[in-house]
Amino acid sequence: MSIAPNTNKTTVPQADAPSESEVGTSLWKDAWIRLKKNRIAFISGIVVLVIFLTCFLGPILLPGPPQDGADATGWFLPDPNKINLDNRSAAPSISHLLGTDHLGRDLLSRVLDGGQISLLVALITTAVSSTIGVLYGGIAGYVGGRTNSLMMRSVDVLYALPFLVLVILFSLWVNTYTDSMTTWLANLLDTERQSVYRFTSLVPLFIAIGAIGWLNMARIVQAQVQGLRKQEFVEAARSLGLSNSRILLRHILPNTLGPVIVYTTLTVPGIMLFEAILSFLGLGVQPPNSSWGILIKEGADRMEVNAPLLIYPSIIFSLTLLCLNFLGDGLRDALDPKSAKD
Amino acid sequence: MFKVIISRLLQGLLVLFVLLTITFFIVRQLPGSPYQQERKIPEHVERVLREKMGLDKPIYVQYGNYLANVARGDLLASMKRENRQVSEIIGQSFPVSFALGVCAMAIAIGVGVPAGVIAAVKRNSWADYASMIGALVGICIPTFVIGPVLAIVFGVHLGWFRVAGWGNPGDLVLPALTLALPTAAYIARMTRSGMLEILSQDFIRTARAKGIPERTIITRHALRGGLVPVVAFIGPAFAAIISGSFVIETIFQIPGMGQHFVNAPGDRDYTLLQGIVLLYGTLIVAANLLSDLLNLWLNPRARTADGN
Repeated sequence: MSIAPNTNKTTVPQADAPSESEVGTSLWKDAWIRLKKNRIAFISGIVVLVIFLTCFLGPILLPGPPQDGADATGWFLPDPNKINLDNRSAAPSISHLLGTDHLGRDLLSRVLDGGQISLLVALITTAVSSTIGVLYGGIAGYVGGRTNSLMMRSVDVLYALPFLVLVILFSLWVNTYTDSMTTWLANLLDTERQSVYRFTSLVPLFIAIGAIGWLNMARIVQAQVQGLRKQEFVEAARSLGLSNSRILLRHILPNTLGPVIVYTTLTVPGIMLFEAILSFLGLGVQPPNSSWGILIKEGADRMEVNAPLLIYPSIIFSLTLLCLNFLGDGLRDALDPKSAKD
Repeated sequence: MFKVIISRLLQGLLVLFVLLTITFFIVRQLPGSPYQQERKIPEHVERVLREKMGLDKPIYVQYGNYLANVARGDLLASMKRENRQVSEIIGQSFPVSFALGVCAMAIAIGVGVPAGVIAAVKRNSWADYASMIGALVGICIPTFVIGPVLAIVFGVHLGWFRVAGWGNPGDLVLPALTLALPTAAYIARMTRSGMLEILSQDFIRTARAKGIPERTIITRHALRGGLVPVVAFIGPAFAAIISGSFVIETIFQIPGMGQHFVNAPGDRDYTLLQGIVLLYGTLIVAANLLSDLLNLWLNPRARTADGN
């Protein structure tokens, strides 16, 4: 299921290359049209975008709490970590649209704050694991021969290992370096440890899940590259004297972009679920950082007393997963019609 | 056929070896030791304990000794609870997790396969949409949301089952259902797409042309091929159920292996963690092997293609 070389400005000589003036539909334009026709996938994409923007821009754009700490009324977005024991488990009101939790923290701003972490973990980890997977699979497929089978056998071996077990071990290991990393980064940026820690405490998750999550991507890319490397445009590139790394990076890998994008989109919800499971077990994101997994855990613990604590984070989390899955399926149908399910 | 099995067994052993090695070295990389916990132990006592556990030796000697012990089938004593053997701890908690896992797997297959077959056969009917929406819900709503909700509805409000605990058979229902749901969802989706592919093939049309009843076509001709992807999924599904059971056991407070697995790294209980990882690894390798064998049996083409 190789995909025709795309019509980016690559130097690949093509016998029937369209001239500049001709308006052809490229693979990407085709895919875009197909994706727009798939209404569920398109709407899902918009919903994901809205959730993403709300989580990241909401806390910046919405009016914050009054600086003097007075009990303000009216509509604003409170600090997610501000504890107010006089206002515990409050019902929704104008200043707390989703109510407050058992410590009087505003639920809406906690959901947005947790969403930032959940989405950040999912995106960075997916980027890490996809990069490793594409390079590994690309090299294995391009080199071929014994190296290829050795590399792919080791993927098989790693694949058979219990994923969760490895991630837990790995993150515990990387966790031991978090402290020194925080100090280092705080010195480097000349800021307080506290503000850097919000990011550095997540690094074990990025590395651990990323280090184990690339296996599928490697398999997919390897299969693609194996098919591509025997094609004429690669031979042409080689006869022009291009180096192997250039051929692989500039000419072969761009042609695997379709499946890579599809699979990347489908990896994001998997990793989000994974982060949530780890956080639920107390092994992932650590308080005072919060994530949707942690919010759901806290909500589940107090479900009988204050059900909204479980309901709202669960709804937004499940909605995000659902939409990402729809979007991934839609992208697969759009970019890779042959492998579409039916 | 025989050659395939042997090569798979060897590969499985390799997997276990790699897993054990990674675990061994990573847990020993962690700062602290089994004896640097809440309760301070006098230095000389700690030294004796370390000697007894062999922790005073260089790490590669420890590693060699451990492998030798494992080869003899000895998982050594727990580092944290000195008077208990790892095999004893596992022996107590494993049957609980195993019962839960087997029930969940049975539910997942028993619900997932029929749902997928019905969805494929009655394509684009309400049954198809209902089971595929159900499958999406199962995939997208995490078990740690479904679990508590089921506990509230069936445990607290309806009072059919106990919310948490372990002891009588009824306690198995809610955890097993929750654990089975995501796997059942994946199996249903796979069965559906596998069946759809087979049902569109020529030999099915031939069978229909010969006037074979639709029911026979589905059960005798299509199912065998349609289940190939599902069978290949048994290994990963089993792994998913194992990792899912950590969460489920936490929610429903079930005294299985999950608690030990989650606590052992924090306790720096090296031997217990290694023992548990080894057991999980063995189970997953066995599940993968089983799914390979089933695949060979169901799919004659794999017998020649897989021979290398």
